[in-house]
Amino acid sequence: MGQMNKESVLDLVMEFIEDKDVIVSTTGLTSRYLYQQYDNPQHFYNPGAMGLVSSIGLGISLFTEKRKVFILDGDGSLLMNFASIVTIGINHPLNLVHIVLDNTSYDFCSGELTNSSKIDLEKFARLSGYKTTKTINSIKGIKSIKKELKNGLGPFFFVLKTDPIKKRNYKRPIDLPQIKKRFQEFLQDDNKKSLTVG
Amino acid sequence: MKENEFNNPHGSSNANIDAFVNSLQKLNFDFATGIPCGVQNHIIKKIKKFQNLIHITSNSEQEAIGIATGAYLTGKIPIVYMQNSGFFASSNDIASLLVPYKIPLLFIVTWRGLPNENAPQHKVTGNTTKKLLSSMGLDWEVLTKKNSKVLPKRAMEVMNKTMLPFIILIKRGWDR
Repeated sequence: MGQMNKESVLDLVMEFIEDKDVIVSTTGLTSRYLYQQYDNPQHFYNPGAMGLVSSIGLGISLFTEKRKVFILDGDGSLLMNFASIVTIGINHPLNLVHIVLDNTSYDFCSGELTNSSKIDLEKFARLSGYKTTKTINSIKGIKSIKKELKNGLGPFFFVLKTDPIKKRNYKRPIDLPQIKKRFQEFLQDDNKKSLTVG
Repeated sequence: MKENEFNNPHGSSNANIDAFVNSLQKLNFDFATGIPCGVQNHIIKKIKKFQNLIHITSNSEQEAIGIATGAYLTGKIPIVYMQNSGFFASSNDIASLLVPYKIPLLFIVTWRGLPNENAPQHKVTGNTTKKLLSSMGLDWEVLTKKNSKVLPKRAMEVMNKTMLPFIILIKRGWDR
């Protein structure tokens, strides 16, 4: 388990994401916190369909040339759709940044542990074909991601170790069709429909 | 038809399959993914050859739905193909992502487990496929030799109105 509070980690992550970038976030606290604190058209929230956030991110990244696509995933979510890293590795979109907020637990449900504490997620990503990978345990490490994105080659995979959350009652995204429409308009804005696979 | 005449992936294509696939092609579908079923063998092979269509190989039906959703959000018009077994497997992803967000993906789904099939693993899903679809409020239609030219266009028209997935159901032997 990590030292860093999940909300603080999300705050730091939002610091290096640019206005033109895409953010797809997973179920539970991640989407709700972002919706409450940072909502704007660059966000697509996955409130159900646990595990699918990385696949949604992949689908977007394949056809989004000028933007980075940030997948804000969780350890439980990733493990639920683990073969996703195979597909991402095979298609290797250069603009895909897969961030896993790893608190080794199903925090938003009951705090039960996931299997992520017993394995090295970064090693799996490396083997699958992600080009730049890092496991991060500190604020300094999160702040260094900006430089990694600038100098490194995608697809990127960053595991950010966090504490299980304490607070629970963040707002839920409710008007999903409106969020979708807004997101589609955001993408259409100066977006070329071409494959970014390198 | 005899049991061993169904599901022959090495059998040849025919005019009925071509009619269906050609009418799909006219509607500018430009993305496809899924988990194949032998019954759809020729359909999938031909879809993959559409000009301007990007195909991604997925590991599961759930993953396929996620990727197709992402592609759809960027403006692609996806086809997602699978067997009804896979539809059941991904039913929550459909119910909790596609339906509430109103994401109209075209599903091409093989209907296994019909009374003429002797496969215990398909019996329950065969009997409950229609019930699952209607309980999720999704429109569907069975592909036939008669409607193969017009069904894709009808599916698109319905999806443009409902903004929900449409399911084209394919029975074994439909084309013969």
